[in-house]
Amino acid sequence: MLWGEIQLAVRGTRVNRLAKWGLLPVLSAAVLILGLSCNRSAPSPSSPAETQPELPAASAEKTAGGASEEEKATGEALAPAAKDEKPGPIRLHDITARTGITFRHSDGSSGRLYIVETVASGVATFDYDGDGWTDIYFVSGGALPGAAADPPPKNRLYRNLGDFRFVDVTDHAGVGDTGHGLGVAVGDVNNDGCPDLYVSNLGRNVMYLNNGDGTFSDLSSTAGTAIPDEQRVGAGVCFLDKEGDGSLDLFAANYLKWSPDMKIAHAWRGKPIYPGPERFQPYPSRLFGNNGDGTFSDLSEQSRVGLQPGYGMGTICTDYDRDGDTDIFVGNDGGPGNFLFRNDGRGVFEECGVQSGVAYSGSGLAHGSMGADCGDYDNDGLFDLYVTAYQGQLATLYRNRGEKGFEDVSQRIGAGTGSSNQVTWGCGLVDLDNDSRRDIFYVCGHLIDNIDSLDDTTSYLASPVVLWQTTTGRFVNVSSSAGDGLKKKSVGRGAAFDDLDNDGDLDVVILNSRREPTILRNDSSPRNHSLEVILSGTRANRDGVGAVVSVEAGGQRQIAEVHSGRGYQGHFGTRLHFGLGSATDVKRLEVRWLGGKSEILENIPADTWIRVVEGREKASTNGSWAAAGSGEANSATSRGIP
Amino acid sequence: MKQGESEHPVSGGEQASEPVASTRTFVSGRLLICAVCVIALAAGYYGGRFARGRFGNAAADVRTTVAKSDKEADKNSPPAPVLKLDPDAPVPDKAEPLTREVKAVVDCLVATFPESPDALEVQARSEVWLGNSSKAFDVWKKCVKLDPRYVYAYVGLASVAAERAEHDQAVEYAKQALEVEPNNFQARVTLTQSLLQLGRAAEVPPVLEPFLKSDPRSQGFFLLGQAYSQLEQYEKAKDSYEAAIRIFPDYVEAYNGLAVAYEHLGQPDKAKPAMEKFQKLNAPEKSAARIRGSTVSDLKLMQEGAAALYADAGSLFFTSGRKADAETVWVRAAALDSHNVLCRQSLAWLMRNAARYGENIAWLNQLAAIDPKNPSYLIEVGRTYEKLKLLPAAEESFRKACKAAPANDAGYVALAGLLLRYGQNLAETATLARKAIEIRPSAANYALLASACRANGDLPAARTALEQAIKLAPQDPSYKAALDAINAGPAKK
Repeated sequence: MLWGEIQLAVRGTRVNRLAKWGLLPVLSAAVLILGLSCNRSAPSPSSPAETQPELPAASAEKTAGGASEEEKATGEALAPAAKDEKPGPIRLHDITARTGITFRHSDGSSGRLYIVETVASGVATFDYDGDGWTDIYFVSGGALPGAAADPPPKNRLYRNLGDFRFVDVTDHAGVGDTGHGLGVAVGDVNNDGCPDLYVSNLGRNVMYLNNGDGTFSDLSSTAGTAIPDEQRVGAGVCFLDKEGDGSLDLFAANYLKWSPDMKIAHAWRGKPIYPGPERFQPYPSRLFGNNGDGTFSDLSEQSRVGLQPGYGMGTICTDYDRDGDTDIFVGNDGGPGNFLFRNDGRGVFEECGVQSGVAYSGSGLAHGSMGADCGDYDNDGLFDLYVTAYQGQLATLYRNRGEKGFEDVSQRIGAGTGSSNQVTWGCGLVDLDNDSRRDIFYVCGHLIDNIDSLDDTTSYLASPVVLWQTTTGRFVNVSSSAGDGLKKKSVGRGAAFDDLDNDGDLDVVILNSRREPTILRNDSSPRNHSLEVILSGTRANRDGVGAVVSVEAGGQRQIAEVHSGRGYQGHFGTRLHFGLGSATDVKRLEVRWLGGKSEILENIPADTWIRVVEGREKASTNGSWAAAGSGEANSATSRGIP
Repeated sequence: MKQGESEHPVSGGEQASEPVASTRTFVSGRLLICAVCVIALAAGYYGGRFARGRFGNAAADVRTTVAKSDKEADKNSPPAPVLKLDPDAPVPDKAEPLTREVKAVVDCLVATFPESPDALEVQARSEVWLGNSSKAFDVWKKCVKLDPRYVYAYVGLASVAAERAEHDQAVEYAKQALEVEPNNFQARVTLTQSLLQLGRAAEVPPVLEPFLKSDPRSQGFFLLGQAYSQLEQYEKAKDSYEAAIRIFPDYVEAYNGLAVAYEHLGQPDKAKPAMEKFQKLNAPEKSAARIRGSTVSDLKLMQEGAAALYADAGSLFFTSGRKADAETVWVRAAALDSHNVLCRQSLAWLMRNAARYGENIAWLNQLAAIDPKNPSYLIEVGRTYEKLKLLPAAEESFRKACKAAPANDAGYVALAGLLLRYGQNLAETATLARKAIEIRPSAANYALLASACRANGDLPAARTALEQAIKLAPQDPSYKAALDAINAGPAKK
């Protein structure tokens, strides 16, 4: 398939769902198209076309009624909800054991209680090989002084074979960095259609350029983005196109300045614990401009993002003020409160966290912010922010009120429910049941590993929490009735949300500190419909990072933005996901590319995913686009609007 | 907001009581009597000498003769577990020995009073101090079994539930506490905070508003502002935040709330200064400190917590007649926490009643140093000196009281009284009395002026002052009698 076309592909890994859609016959062709879309050689160990036929193995698990055989056997789907809590429709099942993922996170600890251990790492979900299946990149801590390092822990890339089976392709891909990893972002820095990786470390950061053949090249020494300060503790990172010139620039938040010889100790109730960040010097963020030749220039000072020292952690870029350029939010772990860098459109940023109302919580406290996500939870056309926090502080939902700035509505609508006695980390403002309303998912796990002996109101191991958004816009904690995936206690840090099995709903990947990850399959009721959208920029950056897509379906308008870097120092959601509720088609879809141009499509059937290519004027003229593999024409139109 | 961290006790005003409310103290049943006595100390009833200014060894020094005088009294006490606590032992510099020591004291207390909710309450709080909220929860449950109207147990249960984010449960326990004691501020705060967490802001105004009318507190108004903000009633939110700031002008978070409320009300010109004030007060170093306990070690906090437990344990020992044990734990509390007021007040009161005036003065002087704007302690020191006929020292103490709190009439009254009683500097007495009247024009102060005028031979002025006193307190026959006496005969010098 050539770039410049609007593609309609069929998703679905399960026979029953595909059969329901009547699209089973087109499966092979669709997969073939997807597999070819990046025009690259098949990655090891097998090509997508080879893996696809194996997918239906687990497909019979789920019945049309929404309850799997597994659920029926355990009665879990019918289990009563907690007292005073109506069971929500979200069901997430832990299928880690059968994924083949053997990664185990290391925080490099050896009992010396270095602060860089406990903040742990993020995780990225992205389709590195362009086969249509979302893969997983786990970031790991390295071997800090005193820790065993044989073999040294390293980051791991798992290729998605479909049906929740993954294979470790780290060594083949060449992305197994052994540095002490903290954050990760994915972006196509050379616009070749193959997503690249940037890993934020303690000390030297790493840039991996995707070769398009299942391997990556380490450009760290030449790209100019390594920030090679051995005392710098990295944090969340994002790619953004700061001035809308079509190439991705790079923002790297940093946590603090640390080295193992600092000997900063902390004791609580007589027991040694991890020290807080305030004991260390904050480290300002960095911004790198893309030179377009594989190198970047450090623009931290002239862009003004490097002038604000803070304890950066989770970060996300968003056009919060809808002025057509991309701004940057940085969650800071404590004072001076969160940062919001407003872009003037030319890549110069003004920090306006306090003025815009996101620096502090509604009660005026600078939270120990951890993860950050962005989405329009109330479908009012403005991007809201969700930020997780330290124990004793609510994970906070900042509602975007346009020119009036943001307002903390966490208590008002229950968006922080269940968080106040936990340390909360990776998070997603995502629609888990496809009802067209974004829900909230966050992971927990204290950063003090001996906390259970010091304060039994919280815990080191903790279950994730899912808050389902009701029709009245309130968030209800449905964790106790949302499947076994919410019951497992671990030490959550990073979390990513993507459709791993291409069945139209978002699955969950959790990176647990010092432990194996958790993979949750979304088995929520399939009654609702969805649409997934991939953007291909031609004038704008290739993945459409910073572009805003709006869909109108079932009388409702939703928006989503392509982010690169989000959650707790991780990355997910390059393929935009829209829950459509009972709507079986999207009346209108508009893409507003970074740079101001728009693309409009109409009458798109639900339960598909589509690729929208920027400026595909031909398609708008002939008014048709192909249903992949079927050869059928669709009545949807696309037209470029200057 | 962590009220106790940000607000400093201010003598004589509303804020003086606030930290007490936020860190609930243990006073119940018979202990109430003790507490009343302790509080009465600040109003003053004692005398003595040997004032000491230093904190360090004072606690140990003044205690040396303690046990002897009470041994006789203890002979009749029922046999009970022996308190093994050496108040003169070095203060533990590690958490573990401190924990052991506290556990031993609490175990002794509970073994001595196994059926006492007060003792169990101390035990519950010691568990919280150790981070064992589950154990504390169980102990508080025992308390309410023993006494279903034991308010502090409900408050404790509510606070633990809130800490665990079990806010529905916290609401229920806080409501039970308020059924027993409607004026319990801590229960009201916990109830409000949990209602806010549950998104039940509409229930908050009825909980707070009637209460705040009779007992206005900054934290209460702040929480009310939070509730109205949640309810999007920004005019009322603004009023509430302003009320909080009127009471406590440095209430950082209230300025943030106020700025947000003004923004919603479309008054950015008023929002701006509020936000500026918030930022000024919210300096980065302060913000960072509020995120987590930022101390290298929390040993000092642990010691302070232990001292608070000992202060209450001492009250319990005392009310059951074990004065020596009470004194031991109070002295230990003072050694553990150089700023613990309750144990020092208790000790001062104990010393005064035991006629150990030197120690009485030493503890009072420590209290005066802890709370230098509160004249009560210095006045008590002066009275002890007066009782011991050390009049220059008494006069000096009263003058210090005037200097410490020039806007409080108590020092002037005490000094004028002393001078009048002993016929010293009589010319000054009228000036002092007039100053007292200026601050508080009470009948008593007018009567004091009358005495001063009479002593100085100015009978017309004395008559006028007494007439004013009678006007202010017509029910008090003593003023009329004094006036009659002046009218009846020549003035006495």
